[in-house]
Amino acid sequence: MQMPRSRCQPFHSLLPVTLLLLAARPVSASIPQDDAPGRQMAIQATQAKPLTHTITADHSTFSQLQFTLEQQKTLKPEDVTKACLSCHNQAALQFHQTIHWTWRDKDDAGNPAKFGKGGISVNNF
Amino acid sequence: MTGKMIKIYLYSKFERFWHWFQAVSIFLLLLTGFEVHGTIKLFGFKQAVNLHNIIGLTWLGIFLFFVFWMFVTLEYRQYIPTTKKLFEVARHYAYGIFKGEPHPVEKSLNAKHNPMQRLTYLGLTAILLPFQMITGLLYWGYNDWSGLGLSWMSLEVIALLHLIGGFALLIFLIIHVYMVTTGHTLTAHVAAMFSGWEEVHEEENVADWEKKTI
Amino acid sequence: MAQSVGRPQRENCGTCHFYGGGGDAVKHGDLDSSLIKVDKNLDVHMGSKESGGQDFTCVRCHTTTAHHIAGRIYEKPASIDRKSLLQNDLGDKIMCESCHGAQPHKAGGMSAKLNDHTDKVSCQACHIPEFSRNQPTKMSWDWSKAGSLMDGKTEVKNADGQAIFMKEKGLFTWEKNVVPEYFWYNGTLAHMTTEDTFDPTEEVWLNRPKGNKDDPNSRIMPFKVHRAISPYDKVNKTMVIPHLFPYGKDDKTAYWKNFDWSAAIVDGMNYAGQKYSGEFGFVKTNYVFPTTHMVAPREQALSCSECHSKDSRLKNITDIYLPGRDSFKLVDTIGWFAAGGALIVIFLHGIIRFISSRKRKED
Repeated sequence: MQMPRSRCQPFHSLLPVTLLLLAARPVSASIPQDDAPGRQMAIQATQAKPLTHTITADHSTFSQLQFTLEQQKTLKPEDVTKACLSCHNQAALQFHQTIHWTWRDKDDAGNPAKFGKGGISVNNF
Repeated sequence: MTGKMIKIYLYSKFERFWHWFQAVSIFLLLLTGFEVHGTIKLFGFKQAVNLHNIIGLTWLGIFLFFVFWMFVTLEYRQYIPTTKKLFEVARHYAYGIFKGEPHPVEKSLNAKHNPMQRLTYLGLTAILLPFQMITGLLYWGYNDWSGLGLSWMSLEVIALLHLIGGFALLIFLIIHVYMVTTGHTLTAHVAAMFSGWEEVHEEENVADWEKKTI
Repeated sequence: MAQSVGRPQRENCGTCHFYGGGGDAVKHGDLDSSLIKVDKNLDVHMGSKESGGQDFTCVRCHTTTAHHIAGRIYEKPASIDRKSLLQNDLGDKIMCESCHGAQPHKAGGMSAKLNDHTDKVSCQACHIPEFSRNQPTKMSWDWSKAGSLMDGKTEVKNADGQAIFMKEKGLFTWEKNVVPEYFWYNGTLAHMTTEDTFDPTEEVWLNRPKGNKDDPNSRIMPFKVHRAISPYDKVNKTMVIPHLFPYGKDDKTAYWKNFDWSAAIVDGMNYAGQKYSGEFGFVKTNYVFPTTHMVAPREQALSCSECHSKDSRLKNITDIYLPGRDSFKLVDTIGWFAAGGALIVIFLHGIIRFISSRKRKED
């Protein structure tokens, strides 16, 4: 992968640049091509590591997640969450720190600030 | 000024190319420039910028060669300003021309331009065009200013200066095109700029300053 | 249930975020239920593979660290560093630059000029030509019209089936294919709270993009601006928090049950622990939303003249010289006056030449 060449052309190279411009540049507006470097980079960045490669466990085989038909009749969503948390033992603690839980932005010290739905900022919708 | 009319080969191929190249360049640069400025709509903004850049940079490159040519061929001496007969030339265009008087300064190989032309073209070539090229180049290179230590400059000021130069060129162009018609016929001068041959009165007495001094 | 363990899908996020503000497409101009199943024309990233899109889910860009999801913007930018993913494999992938780099366009010619713009113009500014390109979004909301009926009805709908009046909420307008408003933006918004005072004779910006032309991290960014007429404290000149949604059947103060602004504001401000004078009025308020989703295919990116023209989109960006939009009135006037003068002079000169030569011939 080649990084895009900087556009910055030193002024002393102007004359050859001028002649090149004359010779090589079509006058008509150029339509963006497939090989725009930003697109190449993005495709490379998102395809380099397919997400499936990061999964190392098949959750359907975990005994904690096996529920009998009888159990499933009375099962509540919270019971499944508990089953998740029995292994993912940091998840709840992590989640309690997030804006999805506090509904508040954090100040520089990491404490909930005034802003957010749980704060005293105001919207108009 | 009693000599008969003779034809002299006044403008070389290179000079004629140079003249018409500049004429087309100035015309297109004015058109695209005033489109970039938002005054007219013709090519579309993007194409106007593109054309303006290409023509401007090309002219700049050829201009450097032209300056080199001027000094190598000593043709720059045609542009050394003089005040001799300047008043007479001015008086001619303001008054004598209406009386059908002959031009006070006849063109010759050693003096292609009358004193007023000398001043005008010197001002154009030595001041206005370089001024437009420098401000235009800075405008073009706007994004590289910080890298070149030019961050203190203001795009607004550069654009303003370049615009003022553009207006000056527009006014020059208007007057220049009109002055072309003031030859002994309406099309005499423009024909000469195509063929190279200018019809002049055969001079009997050539003034000292008109002689090529080597 | 256990079979569905996996990464969050669009529905997981969209159930809340597509319906913000009380309904589909109300709050955001660039986030609505259209994104559940979408083609490339509306969103190049989330568009289906069949339509030529990338079929990204939300979390493809909104990457997480310990359940913190990248992309919230209050006082902190979504991402502090404008750098490419290639430079930092573990960084948040939330910025366009994260994947596309800072010089995404081809080198050479006018494409290079596009790369020149990335230091001051956000990707979104050109690549999201309009927002709400599939469903109309709510653009204005007059809360002062709530509480009474309109033509004897509690709800009035427009031709598209969207409510333009509701007794609970007031009067709305909806718009589709909206041209954004543009502001300098460093990735953060300044928010007004119930503690901040303002001048009620002017529009009150409840939030505002932060940033300026000299800040290397600021870009010109497109925004949806939601304009409303909202209740405020007339004496303290502060915004108020009314209690809207009833707690239950016996709720005596909730506005949506009792339609009494005064009681609802007293209760709401009391709950929030904020001062309230007891006197309320209505004030014009604006709320901005950055427009960043629903990126259009590159063929639809803005042409230069959308900004570089007298009729520029960048009306709010007045602190820079913008070629094609800005001019120098005085120099223009003098310049055209002089050019016109030159024309008149040569015209007169030519006429006199013509007449005098005719005369001489007659003589």
